[in-house]
Amino acid sequence: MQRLVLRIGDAAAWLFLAAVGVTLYEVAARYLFNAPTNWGHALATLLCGVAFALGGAHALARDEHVRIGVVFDKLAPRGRARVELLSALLGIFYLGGLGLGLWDQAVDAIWRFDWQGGWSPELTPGPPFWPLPALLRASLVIGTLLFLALLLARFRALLRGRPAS
Amino acid sequence: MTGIDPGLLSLGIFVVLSLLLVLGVPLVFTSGAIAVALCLWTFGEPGLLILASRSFSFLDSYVLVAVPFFIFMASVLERSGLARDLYDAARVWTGRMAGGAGIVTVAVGLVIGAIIGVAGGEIVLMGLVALPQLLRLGYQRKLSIGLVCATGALGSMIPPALQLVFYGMAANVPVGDLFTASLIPGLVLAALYVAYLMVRAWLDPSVAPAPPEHELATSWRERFVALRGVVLPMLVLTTTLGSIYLGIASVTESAAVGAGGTLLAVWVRGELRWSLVAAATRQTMGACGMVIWLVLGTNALVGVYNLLGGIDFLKTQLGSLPFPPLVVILLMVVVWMILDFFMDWIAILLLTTPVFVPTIIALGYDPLWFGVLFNMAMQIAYLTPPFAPACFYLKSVAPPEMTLDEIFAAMWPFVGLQVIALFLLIAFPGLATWLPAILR
Repeated sequence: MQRLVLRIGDAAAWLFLAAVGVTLYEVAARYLFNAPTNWGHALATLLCGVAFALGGAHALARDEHVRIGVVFDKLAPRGRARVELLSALLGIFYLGGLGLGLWDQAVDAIWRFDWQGGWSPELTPGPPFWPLPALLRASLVIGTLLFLALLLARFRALLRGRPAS
Repeated sequence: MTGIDPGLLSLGIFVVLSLLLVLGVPLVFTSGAIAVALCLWTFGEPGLLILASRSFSFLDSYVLVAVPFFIFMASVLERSGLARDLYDAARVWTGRMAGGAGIVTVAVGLVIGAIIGVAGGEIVLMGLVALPQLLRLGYQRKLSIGLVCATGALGSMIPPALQLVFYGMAANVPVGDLFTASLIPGLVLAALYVAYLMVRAWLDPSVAPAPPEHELATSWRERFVALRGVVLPMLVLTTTLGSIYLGIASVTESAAVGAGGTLLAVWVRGELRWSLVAAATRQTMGACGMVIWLVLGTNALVGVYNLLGGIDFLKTQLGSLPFPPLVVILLMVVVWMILDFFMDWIAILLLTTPVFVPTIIALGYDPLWFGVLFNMAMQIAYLTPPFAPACFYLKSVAPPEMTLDEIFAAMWPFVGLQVIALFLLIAFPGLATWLPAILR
């Protein structure tokens, strides 16, 4: 799990470089050729947004999430394992809640529910480049789930008395 | 949902939050979990939609795209030899000046600060490049250490600066204006460092000796050789960064131009390798994943807290304190300083700005100025022992016999100079607000 997350993160990191490329193209098109694109901003935002969404799990895999070490660093391994367990529980609670909210939102966006209880796909034309925000939403869901999955894996490992990473 | 006393709510959140944080639970989980709990408790499951849409709309922002670009620029530069060559060239050209190498250190610190927007990376870089030279020339150790840490920290004062990007988003102030507002206070800091160095050298020339004669006898040929590998990259960098300062392009576009320019500069120097770019992107990902999710978590908590009337409550409380507004500002600075013992700037920023900024606006202060004040306070926090990130960064690259105690002891004069700069900024808000006003 840990390795999978790291590999996904390393791959997603290239999206940043792609976003630099897109933005440079946009800048050149606008300031040099006076022909601004209408998709540059949206695309760069999407590329980075996808990487951001996946970054939470990646940072957890690398143990980079900010914590206060004053007490934690002085704890015995047993105490640390307990704090890690508590952290994992709180993290699961947070990401579970966020995931549920995102899911409800996604369902609202994809399906149209009528008063009679029937439903049909939401086909109202969206704003220009409609797939981009949808993709960003989807990647936030995926990023949240990936983060959650890694935390669950850690939680299980901790319950079995193994170290977190 | 109504009927929750905001005072009791605030107290409850404060107690739970600080308890979990002190235990060592990561901030993102602590604040996120409290947010989810509050949502479920007050609004039921539909409340989670608030969380979801807040998180999504935060990610869906163009300004945020500048963050990885700035981190990427710094990561590339850290892996290039440009800083070292720049320092050496500056030293060769200014050899004979009194305290020359010290002044060069500050000047190079400013230039690198104008490329790197995060202080940690710059301190490491200055520790590798400038510190050995200062020690070799026989500069007093404490003075050298302090100078390197203080100038290295300037990276977050001289635009571009990540702190200002996040402050701008949190306080709803244009990031470009913040960049220009922070420039003069940053230069004031640098000037104070130089002045201190000159005074010390004047009082006792042995603390900042001139280089030995044989080193001064550099031929013009050698001088120009030293410029090789510096001039062209600097030209590329200044043109790209110029677009930031002049505010021609948006912050994100300037950041992309800066990232592209940095790659170009590294390529001109013949250092562009696949492994360098890969390592830099990976470092960018690590830093972004941490920062962005930290914001997602705290942003969720702040959002729910605001909906429940908490921020209005605190604003009224802070605004009706029986002190003059200036004392309230000073109190806020003190709160930052206390928090700094436990957490780093991004956490302090995320937890305090949602309450502080509306309060100071109600008191009649300029949020732009307040952002620079925050930045200045973080400069002090960066150097003040015992929880001084600057010292730990320097220790990681300092010669092994240099103890943390020695580094700590070297900070105090520079912390003093920073406090002077902070009071100057409070006494003369124009230091921050003047430049953005005339550029607008």
